[in-house]
Amino acid sequence: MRRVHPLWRGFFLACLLTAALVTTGGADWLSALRGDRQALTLLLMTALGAGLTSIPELLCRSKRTPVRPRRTQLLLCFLCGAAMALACGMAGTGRILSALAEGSAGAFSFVGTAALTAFVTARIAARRGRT
Amino acid sequence: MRNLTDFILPGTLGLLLGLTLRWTRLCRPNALRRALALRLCHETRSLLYAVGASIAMTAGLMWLAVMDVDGIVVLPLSAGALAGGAVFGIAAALCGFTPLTAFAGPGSGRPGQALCTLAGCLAGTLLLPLLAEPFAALQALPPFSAATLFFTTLDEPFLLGGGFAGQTCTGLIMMTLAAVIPSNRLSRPAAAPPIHAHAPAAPARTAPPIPILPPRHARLYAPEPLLRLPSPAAEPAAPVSTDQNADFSQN
Repeated sequence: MRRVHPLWRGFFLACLLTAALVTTGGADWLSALRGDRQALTLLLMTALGAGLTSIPELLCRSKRTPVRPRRTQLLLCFLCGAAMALACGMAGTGRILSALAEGSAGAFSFVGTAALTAFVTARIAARRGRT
Repeated sequence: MRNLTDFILPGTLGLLLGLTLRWTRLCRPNALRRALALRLCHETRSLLYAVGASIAMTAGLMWLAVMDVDGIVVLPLSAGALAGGAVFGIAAALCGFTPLTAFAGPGSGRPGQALCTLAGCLAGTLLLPLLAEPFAALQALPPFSAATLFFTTLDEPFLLGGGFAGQTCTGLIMMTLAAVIPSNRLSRPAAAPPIHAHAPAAPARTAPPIPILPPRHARLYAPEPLLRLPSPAAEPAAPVSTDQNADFSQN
């Protein structure tokens, strides 16, 4: 498959996020986990689409020995998932990207704070992983 | 009609969204961590460009009245949003998934981690009703402002003037930033300058002299010389008699 420029990929992603915002009100995963049909359909089909694309890679990988994640990694992922859900509960919505596109000041502050803390955490984690 | 709005349209969009998330590689934990750490890579540019283009496109759609600006639910700026953002950023950087990318994560090569993240999101969502009161109190704390950043809606307050143009400019700034920042994977080693452009003319290549060797069996096949002259070094010159000189003079 021919490689596409990263800006084109970002543009396609933006088009899809905007289309989801216009037609279904955005990808609200908090509502999806609460049982909203539209949001749940959107996110389940997201999983299906990503899974379909990964079939060739999975077939190539099936010959190799799979690397099993440690239990601590799985536990960390579980705790981080719960923390993200609680964080969106603190803010009051699960459709952060859509709120950002709509221009809410709260979404801008949420994303700005998240980007700052994520930057620091990712740098520290990368440094610790290197040493 | 209800099937179209509830299932077909969101399903199609979700399918394409999954394909694109996989295409941008943002559903991979390491790629998302690189993007969050602002490393100079494809994922950072894609993410920044997607957010900027989404903001600019939404502003354009609101300006064209394709989107109903009265239907926008404004997320208020509060202590809850700030604290939530901080917790969200730390959690996303540690596990390498956001809730949206965790849905696309089972095909990312780390299905166990993605499923654990999703399970954690579900558990946190189930815990939310228990924590509704403290979170509501947190959302009411200052700096409380249920406003949009720019003047885009009719009824809601706003922090900055500028309207749709201001919001579009915000998106365009992010897009320009994404286009300008270098990407390490795109950079290639500098190409060698062309020889014919400014470099001095290279000296003309001349073939090295080929040594002429005698053939291997030259002695065998060489014809006998018709007249073999004695070399002066081999034989000393004989004294010339005066008689011979007389003969020469006579001839």
